[in-house]
Amino acid sequence: MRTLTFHENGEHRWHLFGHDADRPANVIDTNQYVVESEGRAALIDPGGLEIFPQVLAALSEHVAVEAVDHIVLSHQDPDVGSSLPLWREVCNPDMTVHVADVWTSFVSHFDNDARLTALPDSGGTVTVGSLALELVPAHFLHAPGNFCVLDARAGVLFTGDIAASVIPDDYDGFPWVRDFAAHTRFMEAWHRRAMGAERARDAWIALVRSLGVKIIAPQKGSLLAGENVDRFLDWFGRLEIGKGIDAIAEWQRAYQGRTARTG
Amino acid sequence: MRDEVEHAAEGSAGREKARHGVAGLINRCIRAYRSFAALEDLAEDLRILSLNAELLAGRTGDGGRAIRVLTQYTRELVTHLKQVYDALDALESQTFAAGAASLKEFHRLRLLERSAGLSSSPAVRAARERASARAVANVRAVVAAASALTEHTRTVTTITTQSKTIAVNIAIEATWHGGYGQHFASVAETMRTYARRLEDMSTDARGWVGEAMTLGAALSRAA
Repeated sequence: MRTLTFHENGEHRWHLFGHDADRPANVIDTNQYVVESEGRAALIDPGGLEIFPQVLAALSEHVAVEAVDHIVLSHQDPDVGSSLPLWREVCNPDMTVHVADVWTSFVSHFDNDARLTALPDSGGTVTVGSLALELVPAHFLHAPGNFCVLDARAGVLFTGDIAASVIPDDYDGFPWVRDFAAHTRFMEAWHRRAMGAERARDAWIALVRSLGVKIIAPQKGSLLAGENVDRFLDWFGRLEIGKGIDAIAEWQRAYQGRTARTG
Repeated sequence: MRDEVEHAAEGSAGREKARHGVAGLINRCIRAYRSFAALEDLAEDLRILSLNAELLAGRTGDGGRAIRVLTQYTRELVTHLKQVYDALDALESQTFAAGAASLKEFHRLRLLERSAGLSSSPAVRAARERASARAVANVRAVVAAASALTEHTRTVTTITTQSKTIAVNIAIEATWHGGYGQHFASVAETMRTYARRLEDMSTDARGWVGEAMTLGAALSRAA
């Protein structure tokens, strides 16, 4: 499990725990983030059950688990937050778990005893020490209830599965994307398939362009900084998304063909 | 003295052995419950047989009094069998609930043990101990369910013996009843058939319950 502290300004830090070469081979690689401010912390997308020990070990070298006041789940997927019941075992009992309103009863399948704060579609704010983290709506990118996390002070936008990349373990473009054009080969298949709503994509891109984001921190793969932020927004805006939707009509044609032959 | 089941849940080797033990215990209990799957139908068949025999005994006047006593006794056995069936039904749910909770807790425990190996945080140690305590409590619940299943199996075995005795007595009574004798002999034969089905069930269940109790004892002795 690699650790990267990619923003540090006094007591204000962003840590990434991820790119774990020792994870089980069939478990997708994910990034887990901790934002620290004035000795308090928020854990963003804490990851799946199977990688909990490694993430906990890496995190506890930087942050006391008792200092984690918030867990934010960008959406409901198991690689995002199925470790939730174990984090609740070790963290502050008063810790709050934030998740989209539409997913609270789904996330309860991971942990029925968790005290979940339901985020409305319009988002919300989480206070960590002296820092206000904005929970920014990004619905349908890819989950129907989905949030990014904006730290306006640091210029960091955690984007969940947007800008995610599935990269090889020995990739030299981790943690930072060096050659954006070359990096797109690790993002393209995912974005074509997982992102299905052009209207949502276009609205989100327009929003992000207005926020002065310096760093895009996705839940999988490499981070984008500086000019690569705009390069990503341009590339994503041009990408043909919704791959798989055509399969519906293709199946219908094939089905009609089969039933016509068999009567 | 330190509780041996608690000891079994400590440490990864003990935890894995306990987890396998619980999975095996649940498997044996499931098979024992399956052995009794037709118990309710059999109880109903016995009840109808006893009613028919009683109607027949009614036609023989005072001479059928002994048969009526035997059929009433049969219906008491039917009531016991239905009670056992209902109890098994509830116990089956409890066994699965406790078994599933155990397996879930062992999964958590496995991850918390790995975490404790990687982190020296007191919070992690405390979480591991809590998970271990929950795993132990759930294992105890599964072992208790297996013990209760043993008791119900014994009850069915006792009812089997009593059913056989009733069949023999009806057969003896049949020899005293002239024209009705062949009808009572037929009742006795059907009763014997039902008793054999009951015996097959309890023999099959006893085998699985025996294995379950061996596993339960091993769990309690602590891996």
